[in-house]
Amino acid sequence: MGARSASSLGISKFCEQVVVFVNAYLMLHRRNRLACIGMHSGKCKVLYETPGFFQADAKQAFDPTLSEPIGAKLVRSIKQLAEEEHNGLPSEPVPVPLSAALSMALCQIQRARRGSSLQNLAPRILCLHGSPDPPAQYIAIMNTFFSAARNDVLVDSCLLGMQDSAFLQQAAHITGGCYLRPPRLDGLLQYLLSVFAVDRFSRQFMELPQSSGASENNAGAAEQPAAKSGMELLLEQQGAMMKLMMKQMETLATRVEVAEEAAAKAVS
Amino acid sequence: MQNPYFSFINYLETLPPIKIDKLYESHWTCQAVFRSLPPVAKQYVLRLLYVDHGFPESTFKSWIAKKSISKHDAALASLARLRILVSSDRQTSPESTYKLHPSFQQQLRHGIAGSAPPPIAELPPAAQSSAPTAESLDKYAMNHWERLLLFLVGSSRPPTTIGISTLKSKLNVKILYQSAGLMAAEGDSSAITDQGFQFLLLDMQAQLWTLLREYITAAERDGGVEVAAVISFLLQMAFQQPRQPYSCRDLTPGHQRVVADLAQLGILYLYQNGSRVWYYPTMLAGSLSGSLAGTPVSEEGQGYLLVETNYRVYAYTNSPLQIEILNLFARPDYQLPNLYVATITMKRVRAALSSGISADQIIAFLQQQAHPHVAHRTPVVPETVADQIRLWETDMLRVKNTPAYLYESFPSPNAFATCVAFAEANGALLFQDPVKQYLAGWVARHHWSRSRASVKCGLLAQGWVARHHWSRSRASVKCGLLAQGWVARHHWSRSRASVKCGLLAMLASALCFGIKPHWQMVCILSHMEHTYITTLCAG
Repeated sequence: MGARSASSLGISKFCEQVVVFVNAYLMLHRRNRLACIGMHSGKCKVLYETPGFFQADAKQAFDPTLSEPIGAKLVRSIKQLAEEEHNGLPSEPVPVPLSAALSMALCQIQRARRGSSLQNLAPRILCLHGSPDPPAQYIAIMNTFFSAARNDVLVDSCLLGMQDSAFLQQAAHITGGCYLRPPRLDGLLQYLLSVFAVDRFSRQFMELPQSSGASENNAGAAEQPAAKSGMELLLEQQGAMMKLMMKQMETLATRVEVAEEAAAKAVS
Repeated sequence: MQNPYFSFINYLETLPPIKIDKLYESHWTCQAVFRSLPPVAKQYVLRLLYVDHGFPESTFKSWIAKKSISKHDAALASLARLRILVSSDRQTSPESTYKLHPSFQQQLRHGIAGSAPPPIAELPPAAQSSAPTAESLDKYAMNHWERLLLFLVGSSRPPTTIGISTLKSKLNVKILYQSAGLMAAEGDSSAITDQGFQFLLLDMQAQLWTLLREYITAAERDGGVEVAAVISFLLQMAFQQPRQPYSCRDLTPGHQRVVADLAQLGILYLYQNGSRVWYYPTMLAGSLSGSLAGTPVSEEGQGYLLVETNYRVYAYTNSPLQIEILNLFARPDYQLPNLYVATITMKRVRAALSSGISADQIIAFLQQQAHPHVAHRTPVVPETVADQIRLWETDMLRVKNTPAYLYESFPSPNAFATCVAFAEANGALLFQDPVKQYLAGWVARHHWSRSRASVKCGLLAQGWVARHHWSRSRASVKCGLLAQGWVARHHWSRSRASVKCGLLAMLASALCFGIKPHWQMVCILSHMEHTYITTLCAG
């Protein structure tokens, strides 16, 4: 997942640290693969994909980009994205398409699952997020979290700003992921390496830092009604549908009754 | 035969520190070693990677959940064995702290910051037309490997590789087999040994690794090729794409010799066009790099065997090697162009068992090579067949021999009881007879049992009673010794810098074992108690 901005860090420094993290992640295991999705106002895009992301065992044809450093590729596409943003887009800030990016990530994971002969993928989504939550996408985002939980995908989040994101705290809560807002961004890499590089298998054994524990709990408590309302909203919608159906059934039944009565009368 | 699943990392652990330090000068080695660490150890390394000062052990412990402290111990132990974690000097700080091996840290940082896979060479257009395709490479590798194994069975000559003037290999497959104990020389000819038969039943990865390990040890012994060069090349290969060309031009002379030798084993394919030479890692290299990087590669769709409940084996193959292997434990029935039918019979299986192959090896082989149509079934090999093979094996093992020591003529019933209790507590007791006061103990546990902090040894030997205690604490080693007729008591204390050794005690104990004392033994003793004991055992 991409970040929109890293206010106090500077985009180039941020990129460097992310690239190092990506390299470290790929180095952890030879089967580790990843796709980076960047999002910016109104749009999201796959920035980088490990070759053979969708087919683990495919015999690859000769591809000169195979030997290109990952960092160069990633930085290039991030720059491209930034340029697109500068060129001719509305000047007023548009909310980030977080839900779209999350769904895109889920789709990628699904594709990777289908393409690979290995059934034991342990997928994770890591959101490096520095923008305010887009409230208008509340339901869409919650839906992506629920489907992630259903598909056994963890959603980890690393917040880059000074604000906590209620949405992503929810994500960590629902999917069993890890949520962290580093107090100092210049040590971002250390946080990435020591918390977010921990794979799902090792999480059984390792204590992940609970640095935002208190605020998470508070925020979690504060957000609980909101989450409920989201669920309720869904339930309400379903309830309304059910009611409608029940009504239709009833009218159908009465109609049948009326028809039967009429038939009985006609016979008599 | 050593454990065939002995992995690369175990091999590294046995190397002396100087060699390990030298290996960590290449960032490919560091990355490959990093990949093969246990998961928790990997996380430790990542956390320490950009930290320059050391951490005390308590910090590491705080990272791990309380219930999985065993993982922590295993991780730290493996990191220490590989010298990735070095503990700082105790004198400078009160608590010993751990930090990463400096050159390992530097190389890993380097690898992580700008790592690109080793560059794939681009063939000039003139060479492209005659360059080998992926299919032809696979075919070549399989053929080559099969002929290597057939040579082991004795039905063909060793395969030759395409000769390339600049890269001459001195590797002799026959000698390699012999030094691995797979073949034994008998006059001019050589024949396959029992170990060789077991070797044939292993999967390809284990076979490859067995040969390579032998190659590395041979390199070390003869001093022909630098061991570090072999290992660093192998590890670099783990990051290369199979079936892609790599240029030989940039290689060091040491690496070039390794390339030539590996081409002999079919792991690499050499391709020459004009004056330039490229090497292609074949699929053998691909399966090897999986094991180098710590994950076994499963080969799918390679099986060819169907086993029926009536002991019939249908092998969809016409390869002489596979037929040869089947014949180890099955009676040939028919051979059709693409099918070979055999029956598993008691006679054949017994012959195989008596040549050292175990029932589990046979069953594992039948499972591994199962045809894709039956591979998904559980069990792959019908239970009746598997059970019968195991029964045939247990039939042969009705009487089990255990090497043992017999103690007799105890001076008093009390001494006998103490000894039995001690042997029982250490799991060394095999047999006891209270009436005749006989006691038999396991040879392996005969001389010592060792706990973390202390080594105690209780010993009663034939004809006389000797009692021997060692207790070892951090600073001192004490040795109390009571021998027949006389009492010798000796203490020696050991500090970090100096080892003092009581020669008298040595002589006394050597005498009670009936061994002529050697100076060498004394030296060994001063270094490591249990080496000394094993020497005595051997004596």
